[in-house]
Amino acid sequence: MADDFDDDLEKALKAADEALDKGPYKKALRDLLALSVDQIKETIPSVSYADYSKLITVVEQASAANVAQAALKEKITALGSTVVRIAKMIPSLAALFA
Amino acid sequence: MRSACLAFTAACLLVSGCAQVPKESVELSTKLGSDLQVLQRSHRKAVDLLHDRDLERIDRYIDQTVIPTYVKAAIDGVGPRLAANLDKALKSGATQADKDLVFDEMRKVVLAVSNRVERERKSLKDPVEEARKARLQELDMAYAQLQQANSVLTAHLASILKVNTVQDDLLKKAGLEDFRKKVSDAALDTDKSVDSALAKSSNVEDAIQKLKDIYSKFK
Repeated sequence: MADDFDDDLEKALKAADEALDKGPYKKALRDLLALSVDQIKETIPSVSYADYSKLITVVEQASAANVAQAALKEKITALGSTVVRIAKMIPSLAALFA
Repeated sequence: MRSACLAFTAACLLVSGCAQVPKESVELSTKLGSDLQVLQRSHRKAVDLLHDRDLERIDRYIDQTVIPTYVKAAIDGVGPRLAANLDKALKSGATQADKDLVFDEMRKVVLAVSNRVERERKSLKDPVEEARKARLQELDMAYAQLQQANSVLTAHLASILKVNTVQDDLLKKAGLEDFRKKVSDAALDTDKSVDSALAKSSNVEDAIQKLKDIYSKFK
């Protein structure tokens, strides 16, 4: 009985693990959060915290609203070339610009 | 041309050989050292603030997305059974075993969710903390080099000042109080004469002759 409970709990939490990574743009959001501004500056020295923040906001909104890839690409492009360059550092977002 | 070079070199040696520094230069150099420490602290603070913002953003993501996702998953997965056992444990005829069971199940849910959340938080925060550590180390190394260079400069200036003081004492004892001024003035005059001669020279030969005339005055 207890084993069933443990198994069911583990199964449910594993599903949550996958949901956090596999939801629309959730992997991109997670990767973006794990990337510090300092690390971005190594690749794009002119980047500002505002650029990084704008990109995260757009991806958060896209994830919540489940917007189409083309629409997300358009929103990122509208934020300027620096934001596009940051997006290209995240594989799942870089795919939008391939 | 060679004579001109010789005269110029001699003038330079004369000036540098009598290097003088005001005592304020040593004080300024020492002050620069302490200012560097203040600047380093400010710089470190800026790096910390930048990384703290990254960490705050991660915490917000954990609070708004990760925790609700795991709690919802746990409720969906074992919620009905937990609710039934809780209901049983709260009834008047409930045994201690019923109560222990529901307590154990609730503890498991809380611990499992908490472990997942903290694992996620750590995986996101670790790279940021590593980046912060690396930047601060680089910063400290750069400032240590600056401090070292400034210390060498301060020591050098202090040394020159000390030599000047001893020289002044010796010159004073020899009755040559104004010797240093005379040498400095002579060097300045020579410098002006060279400038003037070069400016007024009509050609290279003329310039060489004028510099030779200046040089001959040293003989």
